[in-house]
Amino acid sequence: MDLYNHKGELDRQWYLRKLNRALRDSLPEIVTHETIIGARPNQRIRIAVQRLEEPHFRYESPPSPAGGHGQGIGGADGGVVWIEMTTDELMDLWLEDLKLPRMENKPRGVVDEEEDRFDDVTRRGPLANLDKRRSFYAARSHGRDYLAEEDLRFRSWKTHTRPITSAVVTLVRDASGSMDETKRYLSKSAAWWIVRWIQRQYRQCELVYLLHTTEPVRVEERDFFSREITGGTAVLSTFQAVADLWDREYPPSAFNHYFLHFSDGEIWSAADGALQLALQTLVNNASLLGYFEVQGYRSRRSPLWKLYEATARESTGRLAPVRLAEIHDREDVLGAIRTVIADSQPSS
Amino acid sequence: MVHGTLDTWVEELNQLALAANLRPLPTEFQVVSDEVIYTLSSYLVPGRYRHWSYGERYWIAKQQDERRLGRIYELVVNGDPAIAYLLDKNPDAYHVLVIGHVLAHADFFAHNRWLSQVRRQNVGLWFREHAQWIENLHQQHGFARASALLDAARTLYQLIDSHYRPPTLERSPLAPEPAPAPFDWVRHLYDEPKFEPLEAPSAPTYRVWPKTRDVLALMGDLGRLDEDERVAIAMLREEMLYFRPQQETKVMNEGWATYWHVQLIRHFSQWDDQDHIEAMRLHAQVTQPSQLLNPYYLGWTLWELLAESFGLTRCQTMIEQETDQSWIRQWFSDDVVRLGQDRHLLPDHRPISPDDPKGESEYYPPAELKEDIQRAFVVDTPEIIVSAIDPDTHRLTLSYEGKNPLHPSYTQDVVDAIAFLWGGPVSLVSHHRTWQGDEHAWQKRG
Repeated sequence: MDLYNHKGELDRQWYLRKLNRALRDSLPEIVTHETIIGARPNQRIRIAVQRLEEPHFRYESPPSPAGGHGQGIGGADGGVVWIEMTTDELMDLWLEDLKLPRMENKPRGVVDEEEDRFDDVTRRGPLANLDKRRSFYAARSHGRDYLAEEDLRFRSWKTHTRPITSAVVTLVRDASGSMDETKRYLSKSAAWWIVRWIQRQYRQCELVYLLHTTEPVRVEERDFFSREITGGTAVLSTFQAVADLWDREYPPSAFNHYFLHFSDGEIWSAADGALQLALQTLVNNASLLGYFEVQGYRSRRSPLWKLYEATARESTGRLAPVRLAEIHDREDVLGAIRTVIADSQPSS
Repeated sequence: MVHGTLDTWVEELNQLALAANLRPLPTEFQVVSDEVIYTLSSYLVPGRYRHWSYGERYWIAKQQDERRLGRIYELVVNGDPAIAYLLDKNPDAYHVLVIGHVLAHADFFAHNRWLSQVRRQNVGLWFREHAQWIENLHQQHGFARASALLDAARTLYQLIDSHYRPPTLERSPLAPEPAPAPFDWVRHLYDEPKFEPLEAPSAPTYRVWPKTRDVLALMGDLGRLDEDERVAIAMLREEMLYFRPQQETKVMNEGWATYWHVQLIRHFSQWDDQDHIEAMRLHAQVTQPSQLLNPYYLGWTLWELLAESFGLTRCQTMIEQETDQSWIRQWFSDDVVRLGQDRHLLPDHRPISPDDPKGESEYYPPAELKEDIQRAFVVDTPEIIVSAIDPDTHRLTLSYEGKNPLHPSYTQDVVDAIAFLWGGPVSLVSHHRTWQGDEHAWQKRG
C-alpha cells in the first residue's frame, strides 16, 4: 500500500545506527561504570545515551514557562535514551578489531579447533541455500532447459579442524597498601575488560592470575577481582615466580606468553641488578609485557615505570615487546588497553 | 457491544455533527493495524520521505505501546478529503469516540483560515512524489551527501515564510571618479584619446528585501547546489509550510475535537450502557488534568468555558481566525479563568514553594494563572534575518537583533548547516557574539 511497506522499521535501524555511533563516542565514560564492571557476559545492562538531536535556533536560557508553580508545565525529559545491551555487545563496539600482538605459531602448542565452512554441495537442503549455477549446469548436462527436482543442488557445509596456537596470559595486580580504593577500582576495571575480551576472542587461551605485595599469590579469577591483601611492595619475587611458572607449566615451545602488570609503580628501589635481570628474563620469553600504571606519580616517573622503560629501550628492535600505559582517570582505561594490546601500535 | 457497524456509526455521527452545525471536510476512514499506525504517527502523512528522526519516533511509539504506557488511537491527515486512520485492535466503543473526535478535527481543518490555506489536494500523492525524489537524490548523489543535505535543511524549519521574496540582483553604479583638480588636464595633455564607455561602470549587488527570514528558500534559490537538490529543498520547504499551521493550532484543534466528541457521543443512539462508560473512560484517560498543559485537557476546558461565556457561534468565528497564541491572548480573560476556577476545571490553589508540590498551598489569583498559561504559549523562536549577500565573494550575513542570547553550540551547528547548503562563507551576527559557519564540520557530523 505504501512506497515502502516497512519504512518505519528501516528508519528505526537507520536511527539505531546513528545511536550506535554516538554510543561509541561516549564509550570511555561508559566502560568504567560500576554496573558494568562485574556484570556477567549475558547480563543486560541499561546505559544512558545522549539523545540524538536535530539542532535548531534556540535561546541559551529558555524563558521558564509558568514560573514553575508545580503544575508540571513543560515536562523536562532529560534528553537521554536508555538502551539495553550486554557487555559482549558493548565490547563488539570497541575491542573487536584488537588482536593479541606477536602471536607466533608454536610447533607443539597446536590445538585443533572446529570450524564450519560452506564448501560442500548436496542434493537436498533448504531453498535458501540453492546453488543456482550448479543446478543449471546439472540441468544442462541432462539436456534440459528447465530445472527438474533432481537437478537441484544446495550449498552445504563441512566441519574442518583449524589449528590454533595457544597462549597464556598472566595478569598481575598490585594489592599492596599503597593501592587505595580508586587505584584498585581502576586497575580492576582495566583487567576486567581485558579478561572479558580474551575469553571471548581466544577461547583456548589460558589465564593466570596473581596478586602481589612483597610476595606473589596465585589466585582464582574470582579472587583476583575481589581479594585484597596489604603489605609493602616488591616485584622481584613476582617476576621470578612468573618466570618459574612459565618454565614449569607453560613451556615456550608450546605457548605464547603475555604478561600484564597493574600497579601504581611505588616500589622501594629499581636500581637493583637482580630486578633488571629478572625482568630481562621475562622479556626474552614473552610475546608482550604490558604495564599499566594506575595513578602513578604526577610530576616524575615512578621507579617501576623507569624500570620498564629502561627494559623497553633495551629491547627496541624486537617489535617492542614492552608497552607502558598510564591510567589516571576513568576515561583513560580504554585508551590504555588499546595502547598496550593494539597490534600495530608502537610502544610509547 | 456497540450496535451497528462502522458505517452506521460514521453515518449517525455525521448526522449529529451536521445537526450541531459542524461542517466537516468529507472524511475517509481507514482501519489499520498497529504497525501502520506507528508508522503514520511518526511520519504524519502516508508516503512521506524517510528520515532517521522518524525512525526514532516510530521506535518510541512502538515501545510505548508494547509497555502499555500509551497508545496512539487515531491519526487525521489534513487533506481533501481528510483521511482518518483507526487502530484495528481498539474496542468498538473507542472507535465511536474516535470517529466523533475525527469529525471535529475535520471541521476545524475546513474552517481555520491557516489550515485551509495549505496544499490540501491529493496530500498522499504529492508527499509520495517528494519521497520518491529524495530517494532518487540518495541514489544519485550518494547517501552521505543526500542525508547531510536533508539534515541541514531540516534544521531550518523555523526559518520559513510563505511571504518570501527572493533577493533581486541589481547593478549599482561604482563610486564616481574624484572631481578633477585645477591643473589635472596638464598631466593628461599628451595621453592617447580615451573613449567614454557607453554604460556607466557598475557592480552587481543583491538587494535583500527587509525582514527576509526564509533562509531555507534562500538556500534553494542562491545556495551552491545542484538543480536536483534545489528541487528537494523546495519540496522540504513545502512540507514544512504544510505542517506549520498544524503546530500553531494544536491546542485549539485538539480541544475542539475533544469538546465535540463528548457532545456527539452523548447523543449517539447505538450505545449499550456499558460502552458509553467505556468510551468516557478513554476520554478521561486522554484528558488527564495532572498536566495542565496537556493540549487535550487545556483545549477542551477552554472551549467548554468559552462556549458557556460567549456561545458556540462566537466560538466558530474564533476557529476561523485564530491560532493558539492569539486565541489564548485574546479570549482567555480573567473572567473566563475565574469561571474555570469556580467550576474546578482550573486549579484555584498552588503550592507555596514550587519544589514541593505536595506541601502547603495558597490561593491562585486568576490574573496570575492566566499569565502563567499565556506565557507557555509565547512563541520562543529567535528571529533571524538575512542582512546582506555579497555576490562577489558569495558571502551571506545573517543577523539576530534579540536581547536573549542564543544557545552557543546549537547555533554553531545550525550555522554550519547553513554554510553547507550555501557553499560559501556564512556568518551570524548578534549583540553577544558572532558565529562563522563551517561546512566541513557539518559534513563530518554524518
